[in-house]
Amino acid sequence: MAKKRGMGTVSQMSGLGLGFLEEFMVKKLEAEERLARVFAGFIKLGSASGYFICGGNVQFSRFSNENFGCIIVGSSLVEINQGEDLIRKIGSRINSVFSGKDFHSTVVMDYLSKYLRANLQNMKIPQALAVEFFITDILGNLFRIHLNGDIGIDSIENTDKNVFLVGGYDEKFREELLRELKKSPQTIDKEKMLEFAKRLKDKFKLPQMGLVLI
Amino acid sequence: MSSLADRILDSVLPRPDPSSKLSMRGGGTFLSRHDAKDQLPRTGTTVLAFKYKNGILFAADRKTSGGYSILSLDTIKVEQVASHTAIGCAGLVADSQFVKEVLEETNSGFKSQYSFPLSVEGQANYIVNLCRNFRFYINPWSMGLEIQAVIGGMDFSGDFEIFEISGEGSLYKKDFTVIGSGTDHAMGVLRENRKNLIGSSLNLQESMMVAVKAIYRAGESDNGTSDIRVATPNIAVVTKLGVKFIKTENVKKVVDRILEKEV
Repeated sequence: MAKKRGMGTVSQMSGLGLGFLEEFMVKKLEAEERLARVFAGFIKLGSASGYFICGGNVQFSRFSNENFGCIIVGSSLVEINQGEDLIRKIGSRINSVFSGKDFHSTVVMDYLSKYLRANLQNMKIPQALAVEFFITDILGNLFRIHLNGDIGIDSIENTDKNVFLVGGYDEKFREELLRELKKSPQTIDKEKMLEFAKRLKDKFKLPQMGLVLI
Repeated sequence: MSSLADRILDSVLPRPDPSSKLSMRGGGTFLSRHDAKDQLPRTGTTVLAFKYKNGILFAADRKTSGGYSILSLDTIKVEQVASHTAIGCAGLVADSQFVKEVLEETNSGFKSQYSFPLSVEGQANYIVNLCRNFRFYINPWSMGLEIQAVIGGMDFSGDFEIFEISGEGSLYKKDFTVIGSGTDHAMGVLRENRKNLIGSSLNLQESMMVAVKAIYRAGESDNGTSDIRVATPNIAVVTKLGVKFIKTENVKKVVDRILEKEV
Protein backbone atom coordinates (compact mmCIF):
# COMPACT_ATOMS: atom_id res chain seq x y z
CA MET A 1 0.00 0.00 0.00
CA ALA A 2 1.46 3.32 -1.03
CA LYS A 3 2.06 5.77 1.76
CA LYS A 4 0.67 9.29 1.33
CA ARG A 5 3.31 11.93 1.93
CA GLY A 6 2.63 15.49 0.88
CA MET A 7 0.82 16.56 -2.24
CA GLY A 8 0.04 13.85 -4.76
CA THR A 9 2.54 11.25 -3.61
CA VAL A 10 0.33 8.25 -4.06
CA SER A 11 2.24 6.09 -6.53
CA GLN A 12 3.98 2.83 -5.81
CA MET A 13 7.32 4.65 -5.97
CA SER A 14 6.48 6.56 -2.80
CA GLY A 15 7.67 3.49 -0.98
CA LEU A 16 11.18 4.44 -2.09
CA GLY A 17 10.91 7.69 -0.20
CA LEU A 18 10.74 9.87 -3.30
CA GLY A 19 8.82 13.14 -3.38
CA PHE A 20 6.32 14.06 -6.03
CA LEU A 21 8.75 15.97 -8.24
CA GLU A 22 11.38 13.27 -7.96
CA GLU A 23 8.84 10.62 -8.87
CA PHE A 24 7.79 12.67 -11.85
CA MET A 25 11.39 13.11 -13.00
CA VAL A 26 12.09 9.39 -12.55
CA LYS A 27 9.00 8.52 -14.58
CA LYS A 28 9.97 10.95 -17.35
CA LEU A 29 13.59 9.86 -17.43
CA GLU A 30 12.59 6.23 -17.50
CA ALA A 31 10.36 6.88 -20.54
CA GLU A 32 13.14 8.84 -22.22
CA GLU A 33 15.51 6.01 -21.46
CA ARG A 34 13.25 3.62 -23.31
CA LEU A 35 13.30 5.95 -26.31
CA ALA A 36 17.06 6.50 -26.05
CA ARG A 37 17.90 4.70 -29.28
CA VAL A 38 14.49 4.90 -30.99
CA PHE A 39 14.01 7.76 -33.40
CA ALA A 40 12.17 9.20 -36.39
CA GLY A 41 13.88 11.82 -38.49
CA PHE A 42 12.42 14.05 -41.18
CA ILE A 43 14.75 15.09 -43.99
CA LYS A 44 13.54 18.12 -45.89
CA LEU A 45 14.01 18.02 -49.67
CA GLY A 46 13.38 21.02 -51.90
CA SER A 47 10.66 23.44 -50.89
CA ALA A 48 7.77 21.34 -49.63
CA SER A 49 8.73 17.69 -49.68
CA GLY A 50 10.87 15.28 -47.75
CA TYR A 51 11.05 11.84 -46.28
CA PHE A 52 11.06 10.14 -42.92
CA ILE A 53 13.71 7.78 -41.70
CA CYS A 54 12.86 5.76 -38.62
CA GLY A 55 14.85 3.33 -36.52
CA GLY A 56 14.61 1.47 -33.25
CA ASN A 57 13.96 -1.82 -31.52
CA VAL A 58 10.62 -2.36 -33.22
CA GLN A 59 9.01 -1.46 -36.51
CA PHE A 60 7.48 2.04 -36.53
CA SER A 61 3.84 2.50 -37.51
CA ARG A 62 1.98 4.76 -39.92
CA PHE A 63 -1.50 6.21 -40.01
CA SER A 64 -2.95 8.44 -42.69
CA ASN A 65 -6.21 9.85 -44.00
CA GLU A 66 -7.08 12.48 -46.61
CA ASN A 67 -6.01 15.32 -44.29
CA PHE A 68 -2.79 14.18 -42.63
CA GLY A 69 -0.20 11.45 -42.29
CA CYS A 70 1.33 10.30 -39.02
CA ILE A 71 4.45 8.34 -38.07
CA ILE A 72 4.46 6.66 -34.67
CA VAL A 73 7.68 5.51 -33.01
CA GLY A 74 7.83 3.81 -29.65
CA SER A 75 9.90 1.60 -27.45
CA SER A 76 7.73 -1.49 -27.93
CA LEU A 77 5.00 -2.79 -30.19
CA VAL A 78 2.51 -2.59 -27.33
CA GLU A 79 3.18 1.11 -26.89
CA ILE A 80 3.07 1.79 -30.62
CA ASN A 81 -0.28 0.00 -30.72
CA GLN A 82 -1.48 2.17 -27.85
CA GLY A 83 -0.43 5.23 -29.84
CA GLU A 84 -2.38 3.96 -32.86
CA ASP A 85 -5.32 3.21 -30.60
CA LEU A 86 -5.35 6.83 -29.40
CA ILE A 87 -5.48 8.08 -32.98
CA ARG A 88 -8.31 5.67 -33.82
CA LYS A 89 -10.15 6.72 -30.67
CA ILE A 90 -10.24 10.38 -31.64
CA GLY A 91 -10.97 9.44 -35.25
CA SER A 92 -13.96 7.45 -34.13
CA ARG A 93 -15.20 10.27 -31.87
CA ILE A 94 -14.92 12.92 -34.56
CA ASN A 95 -16.65 10.62 -37.01
CA SER A 96 -19.64 10.23 -34.73
CA VAL A 97 -19.86 13.87 -33.63
CA PHE A 98 -18.89 15.61 -36.87
CA SER A 99 -17.47 13.81 -39.90
CA GLY A 100 -14.36 11.94 -41.00
CA LYS A 101 -13.56 14.97 -43.16
CA ASP A 102 -12.99 16.98 -39.97
CA PHE A 103 -10.29 14.65 -38.71
CA HIS A 104 -7.49 17.19 -39.16
CA SER A 105 -3.87 17.26 -38.04
CA THR A 106 -4.63 19.86 -35.38
CA VAL A 107 -7.40 17.74 -33.86
CA VAL A 108 -5.17 14.70 -33.46
CA MET A 109 -2.25 16.85 -32.30
CA ASP A 110 -4.35 18.49 -29.60
CA TYR A 111 -5.62 15.15 -28.30
CA LEU A 112 -2.28 13.33 -28.39
CA SER A 113 -0.49 16.18 -26.70
CA LYS A 114 -3.09 16.44 -23.93
CA TYR A 115 -3.18 12.68 -23.43
CA LEU A 116 0.61 12.26 -23.28
CA ARG A 117 0.94 15.15 -20.83
CA ALA A 118 -1.81 13.79 -18.60
CA ASN A 119 -0.38 10.29 -18.82
CA LEU A 120 3.02 11.51 -17.70
CA GLN A 121 1.69 13.75 -14.93
CA ASN A 122 -0.75 11.21 -13.52
CA MET A 123 1.36 9.57 -10.83
CA LYS A 124 -1.16 6.76 -10.42
CA ILE A 125 0.07 5.46 -13.77
CA PRO A 126 3.47 3.98 -12.93
CA GLN A 127 4.96 4.04 -16.42
CA ALA A 128 4.64 6.77 -19.03
CA LEU A 129 3.71 5.94 -22.60
CA ALA A 130 7.00 6.05 -24.51
CA VAL A 131 5.76 7.01 -27.96
CA GLU A 132 6.40 10.04 -30.14
CA PHE A 133 4.67 11.22 -33.26
CA PHE A 134 5.45 13.07 -36.49
CA ILE A 135 2.45 14.49 -38.33
CA THR A 136 2.40 16.13 -41.76
CA ASP A 137 -0.74 17.72 -43.14
CA ILE A 138 -2.23 19.05 -46.35
CA LEU A 139 -1.11 22.59 -45.55
CA GLY A 140 2.54 21.49 -45.44
CA ASN A 141 2.92 21.68 -41.67
CA LEU A 142 5.15 19.33 -39.75
CA PHE A 143 4.13 18.57 -36.16
CA ARG A 144 6.33 16.81 -33.62
CA ILE A 145 4.64 15.47 -30.52
CA HIS A 146 7.00 14.40 -27.77
CA LEU A 147 6.33 11.92 -24.98
CA ASN A 148 5.85 14.71 -22.43
CA GLY A 149 3.14 16.30 -24.59
CA ASP A 150 5.35 19.08 -25.95
CA ILE A 151 4.60 20.10 -29.50
CA GLY A 152 6.89 21.41 -32.21
CA ILE A 153 5.27 22.99 -35.28
CA ASP A 154 7.12 23.94 -38.47
CA SER A 155 6.05 24.87 -41.93
CA ILE A 156 8.05 22.60 -44.23
CA GLU A 157 8.18 25.26 -46.92
CA ASN A 158 9.40 28.11 -44.72
CA THR A 159 11.70 26.44 -42.26
CA ASP A 160 15.49 26.85 -42.51
CA LYS A 161 16.15 23.54 -40.80
CA ASN A 162 16.68 20.49 -42.97
CA VAL A 163 16.55 17.78 -40.32
CA PHE A 164 13.92 17.22 -37.61
CA LEU A 165 14.04 14.53 -34.99
CA VAL A 166 11.81 12.88 -32.42
CA GLY A 167 13.06 10.26 -29.96
CA GLY A 168 16.78 9.53 -29.70
CA TYR A 169 17.09 10.71 -26.07
CA ASP A 170 20.57 9.29 -25.60
CA GLU A 171 22.68 12.42 -26.03
CA LYS A 172 25.65 10.76 -27.63
CA PHE A 173 23.44 8.76 -29.95
CA ARG A 174 21.48 11.87 -30.87
CA GLU A 175 24.58 13.88 -31.68
CA GLU A 176 26.01 11.19 -33.92
CA LEU A 177 22.64 10.54 -35.52
CA LEU A 178 22.13 14.21 -36.37
CA ARG A 179 25.60 14.32 -37.87
CA GLU A 180 24.75 11.29 -40.02
CA LEU A 181 21.31 12.58 -40.99
CA LYS A 182 22.87 15.76 -42.33
CA LYS A 183 24.71 13.54 -44.83
CA SER A 184 21.45 11.96 -46.01
CA PRO A 185 20.60 11.81 -49.74
CA GLN A 186 19.08 15.09 -50.91
CA THR A 187 17.14 13.58 -53.80
CA ILE A 188 14.51 10.86 -54.05
CA ASP A 189 16.80 8.09 -55.19
CA LYS A 190 15.57 4.74 -53.91
CA GLU A 191 18.92 3.00 -54.09
CA LYS A 192 20.83 5.79 -52.39
CA MET A 193 18.20 6.08 -49.68
CA LEU A 194 18.20 2.35 -48.98
CA GLU A 195 21.97 2.34 -48.89
CA PHE A 196 21.91 5.25 -46.45
CA ALA A 197 19.36 3.49 -44.23
CA LYS A 198 21.44 0.32 -44.23
CA ARG A 199 24.52 2.31 -43.27
CA LEU A 200 22.69 3.88 -40.32
CA LYS A 201 21.31 0.50 -39.28
CA ASP A 202 24.79 -1.04 -39.25
CA LYS A 203 26.50 1.91 -37.62
CA PHE A 204 24.05 2.23 -34.72
CA LYS A 205 23.27 -1.49 -34.54
CA LEU A 206 19.54 -0.89 -34.80
CA PRO A 207 17.27 -3.92 -35.22
CA GLN A 208 14.71 -2.04 -37.35
CA MET A 209 15.00 0.74 -39.90
CA GLY A 210 12.48 2.17 -42.36
CA LEU A 211 11.87 4.97 -44.85
CA VAL A 212 8.66 6.82 -45.69
CA LEU A 213 8.25 9.29 -48.55
CA ILE A 214 5.69 12.12 -48.34
CA MET B 1 -5.40 3.75 -20.04
CA SER B 2 -8.93 3.84 -21.37
CA SER B 3 -10.44 6.00 -18.64
CA LEU B 4 -7.72 8.67 -18.91
CA ALA B 5 -7.90 8.55 -22.71
CA ASP B 6 -11.68 8.97 -22.56
CA ARG B 7 -11.48 11.83 -20.09
CA ILE B 8 -8.97 13.68 -22.28
CA LEU B 9 -11.10 12.89 -25.33
CA ASP B 10 -14.11 14.46 -23.64
CA SER B 11 -12.10 17.60 -22.99
CA VAL B 12 -11.08 17.79 -26.66
CA LEU B 13 -14.36 16.95 -28.43
CA PRO B 14 -18.00 16.78 -27.29
CA ARG B 15 -19.66 13.38 -26.88
CA PRO B 16 -22.30 12.39 -29.42
CA ASP B 17 -24.75 11.90 -26.50
CA PRO B 18 -26.34 14.44 -24.14
CA SER B 19 -23.68 14.18 -21.46
CA SER B 20 -21.81 16.68 -23.62
CA LYS B 21 -22.22 20.26 -22.50
CA LEU B 22 -22.44 21.51 -26.06
CA SER B 23 -25.25 19.24 -27.10
CA MET B 24 -27.04 19.88 -23.81
CA ARG B 25 -27.07 23.58 -24.43
CA GLY B 26 -30.59 24.84 -23.93
CA GLY B 27 -31.79 21.37 -22.99
CA GLY B 28 -35.08 21.20 -21.15
CA THR B 29 -36.32 24.59 -22.19
CA PHE B 30 -38.73 23.13 -24.69
CA LEU B 31 -40.59 20.74 -22.40
CA SER B 32 -43.65 22.90 -22.03
CA ARG B 33 -44.24 23.53 -25.67
CA HIS B 34 -47.03 20.90 -25.88
CA ASP B 35 -49.29 23.17 -23.90
CA ALA B 36 -50.04 25.39 -26.83
CA LYS B 37 -48.34 23.46 -29.57
CA ASP B 38 -50.61 24.58 -32.35
CA GLN B 39 -50.31 28.25 -31.44
CA LEU B 40 -46.53 28.31 -31.44
CA PRO B 41 -44.94 30.43 -34.15
CA ARG B 42 -43.82 28.16 -36.96
CA THR B 43 -42.63 28.72 -40.45
CA GLY B 44 -44.95 26.57 -42.59
CA THR B 45 -42.39 27.40 -45.17
CA THR B 46 -40.89 26.46 -48.44
CA VAL B 47 -37.10 26.45 -48.36
CA LEU B 48 -35.20 25.00 -51.27
CA ALA B 49 -31.59 24.52 -52.20
CA PHE B 50 -29.85 23.21 -55.25
CA LYS B 51 -26.47 23.24 -56.89
CA TYR B 52 -25.84 25.62 -59.76
CA LYS B 53 -22.80 26.51 -61.84
CA ASN B 54 -20.96 28.53 -59.19
CA GLY B 55 -22.10 26.79 -56.02
CA ILE B 56 -25.36 26.40 -54.17
CA LEU B 57 -28.49 28.52 -54.29
CA PHE B 58 -30.92 28.77 -51.36
CA ALA B 59 -34.37 30.30 -51.63
CA ALA B 60 -37.12 30.68 -49.07
CA ASP B 61 -40.50 32.32 -48.64
CA ARG B 62 -41.01 34.96 -45.92
CA LYS B 63 -44.05 33.87 -43.92
CA THR B 64 -44.21 33.04 -40.19
CA SER B 65 -47.56 31.89 -38.88
CA GLY B 66 -49.05 30.81 -35.56
CA GLY B 67 -52.30 28.92 -35.73
CA TYR B 68 -54.49 30.79 -38.25
CA SER B 69 -52.56 34.06 -37.89
CA ILE B 70 -49.79 35.39 -40.05
CA LEU B 71 -47.17 36.71 -37.65
CA SER B 72 -44.66 38.01 -40.14
CA LEU B 73 -44.15 38.39 -43.86
CA ASP B 74 -40.51 39.42 -43.80
CA THR B 75 -38.87 36.50 -42.01
CA ILE B 76 -35.42 35.56 -43.19
CA LYS B 77 -35.32 31.77 -43.23
CA VAL B 78 -31.91 31.22 -44.79
CA GLU B 79 -28.97 32.23 -42.65
CA GLN B 80 -25.21 32.11 -42.79
CA VAL B 81 -23.71 29.88 -40.07
CA ALA B 82 -20.10 29.76 -41.25
CA SER B 83 -17.99 31.56 -43.84
CA HIS B 84 -19.04 29.10 -46.56
CA THR B 85 -22.16 27.50 -45.12
CA ALA B 86 -25.80 28.50 -45.04
CA ILE B 87 -28.78 26.84 -43.42
CA GLY B 88 -32.49 27.06 -44.04
CA CYS B 89 -35.03 25.78 -41.51
CA ALA B 90 -38.72 24.99 -41.50
CA GLY B 91 -40.79 24.20 -38.43
CA LEU B 92 -40.91 25.82 -35.01
CA VAL B 93 -39.18 29.19 -34.99
CA ALA B 94 -37.73 28.61 -31.51
CA ASP B 95 -36.21 25.27 -32.52
CA SER B 96 -34.83 26.70 -35.76
CA GLN B 97 -33.20 29.58 -33.92
CA PHE B 98 -31.81 27.20 -31.33
CA VAL B 99 -30.25 24.98 -34.01
CA LYS B 100 -28.75 27.95 -35.83
CA GLU B 101 -27.26 29.39 -32.65
CA VAL B 102 -25.74 26.10 -31.56
CA LEU B 103 -24.33 25.53 -35.02
CA GLU B 104 -22.79 29.00 -35.20
CA GLU B 105 -21.25 28.50 -31.78
CA THR B 106 -19.89 25.08 -32.70
CA ASN B 107 -18.49 26.35 -35.99
CA SER B 108 -16.62 29.20 -34.40
CA GLY B 109 -15.42 26.99 -31.53
CA PHE B 110 -14.03 24.33 -33.87
CA LYS B 111 -12.39 26.92 -36.13
CA SER B 112 -10.71 28.72 -33.27
CA GLN B 113 -9.57 25.51 -31.58
CA TYR B 114 -8.34 23.60 -34.61
CA SER B 115 -7.74 26.28 -37.29
CA PHE B 116 -9.82 24.35 -39.82
CA PRO B 117 -13.46 25.05 -40.65
CA LEU B 118 -15.99 22.29 -40.01
CA SER B 119 -17.04 20.44 -43.13
CA VAL B 120 -20.64 20.74 -44.28
CA GLU B 121 -21.12 17.03 -43.55
CA GLY B 122 -19.68 17.59 -40.07
CA GLN B 123 -22.15 20.39 -39.40
CA ALA B 124 -25.04 18.32 -40.73
CA ASN B 125 -24.03 15.36 -38.54
CA TYR B 126 -23.83 17.65 -35.55
CA ILE B 127 -27.42 18.83 -36.06
CA VAL B 128 -28.51 15.22 -36.55
CA ASN B 129 -26.91 14.30 -33.21
CA LEU B 130 -28.63 17.27 -31.59
CA CYS B 131 -32.02 16.18 -32.97
CA ARG B 132 -31.51 12.58 -31.87
CA ASN B 133 -30.44 13.67 -28.41
CA PHE B 134 -33.63 15.66 -28.04
CA ARG B 135 -35.72 12.73 -29.19
CA PHE B 136 -34.00 9.99 -27.21
CA TYR B 137 -32.77 11.65 -24.04
CA ILE B 138 -33.77 15.20 -23.37
CA ASN B 139 -37.43 15.08 -24.30
CA PRO B 140 -38.19 11.42 -25.03
CA TRP B 141 -41.97 11.82 -24.79
CA SER B 142 -42.09 14.25 -27.72
CA MET B 143 -41.05 14.19 -31.34
CA GLY B 144 -37.74 15.89 -30.66
CA LEU B 145 -36.92 19.17 -32.32
CA GLU B 146 -39.76 20.21 -34.57
CA ILE B 147 -37.71 21.28 -37.54
CA GLN B 148 -36.60 20.33 -40.97
CA ALA B 149 -33.36 21.84 -42.12
CA VAL B 150 -31.34 22.09 -45.28
CA ILE B 151 -27.68 22.88 -44.92
CA GLY B 152 -25.30 23.49 -47.76
CA GLY B 153 -21.92 24.93 -48.44
CA MET B 154 -18.39 24.48 -49.54
CA ASP B 155 -15.94 22.13 -47.86
CA PHE B 156 -12.30 22.79 -47.11
CA SER B 157 -11.56 20.63 -50.17
CA GLY B 158 -13.67 22.91 -52.41
CA ASP B 159 -16.63 20.53 -52.90
CA PHE B 160 -20.18 21.85 -52.65
CA GLU B 161 -22.59 19.69 -50.65
CA ILE B 162 -26.26 19.87 -49.63
CA PHE B 163 -27.80 17.88 -46.77
CA GLU B 164 -31.41 17.58 -45.74
CA ILE B 165 -32.12 16.93 -42.06
CA SER B 166 -35.37 16.07 -40.36
CA GLY B 167 -36.25 16.74 -36.73
CA GLU B 168 -36.19 13.04 -35.88
CA GLY B 169 -32.56 12.94 -36.87
CA SER B 170 -32.39 11.56 -40.39
CA LEU B 171 -29.85 12.83 -42.86
CA TYR B 172 -29.89 12.79 -46.65
CA LYS B 173 -27.31 14.05 -49.09
CA LYS B 174 -29.01 15.76 -52.03
CA ASP B 175 -28.30 17.58 -55.28
CA PHE B 176 -31.53 19.52 -54.91
CA THR B 177 -34.05 19.56 -52.11
CA VAL B 178 -37.11 21.31 -50.71
CA ILE B 179 -38.28 21.35 -47.11
CA GLY B 180 -41.40 22.65 -45.40
CA SER B 181 -45.11 22.46 -46.05
CA GLY B 182 -44.78 23.61 -49.64
CA THR B 183 -42.45 20.79 -50.57
CA ASP B 184 -44.76 18.92 -52.95
CA HIS B 185 -45.60 21.95 -55.06
CA ALA B 186 -42.06 23.35 -55.22
CA MET B 187 -40.53 19.95 -55.84
CA GLY B 188 -42.61 19.64 -59.01
CA VAL B 189 -40.85 22.68 -60.47
CA LEU B 190 -37.42 21.44 -59.41
CA ARG B 191 -38.09 18.01 -60.89
CA GLU B 192 -38.96 19.61 -64.22
CA ASN B 193 -35.40 20.91 -64.18
CA ARG B 194 -33.88 17.78 -62.64
CA LYS B 195 -31.34 17.30 -65.46
CA ASN B 196 -29.98 20.83 -65.14
CA LEU B 197 -29.95 20.73 -61.35
CA ILE B 198 -28.09 17.42 -61.12
CA GLY B 199 -25.60 18.62 -63.74
CA SER B 200 -25.23 21.99 -61.95
CA SER B 201 -25.46 23.61 -65.35
CA LEU B 202 -27.68 26.62 -64.60
CA ASN B 203 -26.22 30.10 -64.24
CA LEU B 204 -27.32 32.46 -61.47
CA GLN B 205 -30.15 34.13 -63.43
CA GLU B 206 -31.55 30.79 -64.61
CA SER B 207 -31.25 29.36 -61.11
CA MET B 208 -33.10 32.32 -59.62
CA MET B 209 -35.89 31.85 -62.16
CA VAL B 210 -36.27 28.18 -61.20
CA ALA B 211 -36.13 28.94 -57.46
CA VAL B 212 -38.64 31.79 -57.53
CA LYS B 213 -40.98 29.80 -59.76
CA ALA B 214 -40.84 26.90 -57.28
CA ILE B 215 -41.73 29.21 -54.41
CA TYR B 216 -44.47 30.78 -56.50
CA ARG B 217 -46.04 27.36 -57.10
CA ALA B 218 -45.81 26.53 -53.41
CA GLY B 219 -47.24 29.92 -52.39
CA GLU B 220 -50.23 29.42 -54.69
CA SER B 221 -51.36 26.26 -52.94
CA ASP B 222 -49.72 26.04 -49.53
CA ASN B 223 -51.13 27.93 -46.57
CA GLY B 224 -47.76 28.14 -44.82
CA THR B 225 -45.86 29.68 -47.74
CA SER B 226 -46.02 33.36 -48.62
CA ASP B 227 -47.20 34.38 -52.06
CA ILE B 228 -44.41 35.98 -54.09
CA ARG B 229 -46.81 38.77 -55.04
CA VAL B 230 -47.06 39.72 -51.37
CA ALA B 231 -43.56 38.99 -50.08
CA THR B 232 -40.46 38.78 -52.24
CA PRO B 233 -38.60 35.53 -51.58
CA ASN B 234 -35.25 35.53 -49.92
CA ILE B 235 -32.34 34.16 -52.00
CA ALA B 236 -28.78 33.39 -50.89
CA VAL B 237 -25.92 31.81 -52.78
CA VAL B 238 -22.86 30.00 -51.47
CA THR B 239 -19.92 30.30 -53.82
CA LYS B 240 -16.16 29.97 -53.45
CA LEU B 241 -16.20 33.57 -52.22
CA GLY B 242 -18.57 32.77 -49.34
CA VAL B 243 -22.25 33.32 -48.61
CA LYS B 244 -23.97 36.17 -50.41
CA PHE B 245 -27.57 37.33 -50.11
CA ILE B 246 -29.14 38.51 -53.34
CA LYS B 247 -30.59 42.01 -53.06
CA THR B 248 -34.38 42.14 -52.81
CA GLU B 249 -34.57 44.47 -55.87
CA ASN B 250 -32.85 41.86 -58.00
CA VAL B 251 -35.12 39.08 -56.77
CA LYS B 252 -38.11 41.35 -57.37
CA LYS B 253 -37.08 41.68 -61.04
CA VAL B 254 -37.16 37.88 -61.36
CA VAL B 255 -40.54 37.79 -59.62
CA ASP B 256 -41.89 40.37 -62.09
CA ARG B 257 -40.63 38.39 -65.07
CA ILE B 258 -42.33 35.24 -63.80
CA LEU B 259 -45.59 37.02 -63.07
CA GLU B 260 -45.54 38.60 -66.55
CA LYS B 261 -45.25 35.17 -68.12
CA GLU B 262 -48.00 33.76 -65.95
CA VAL B 263 -50.50 36.43 -66.98
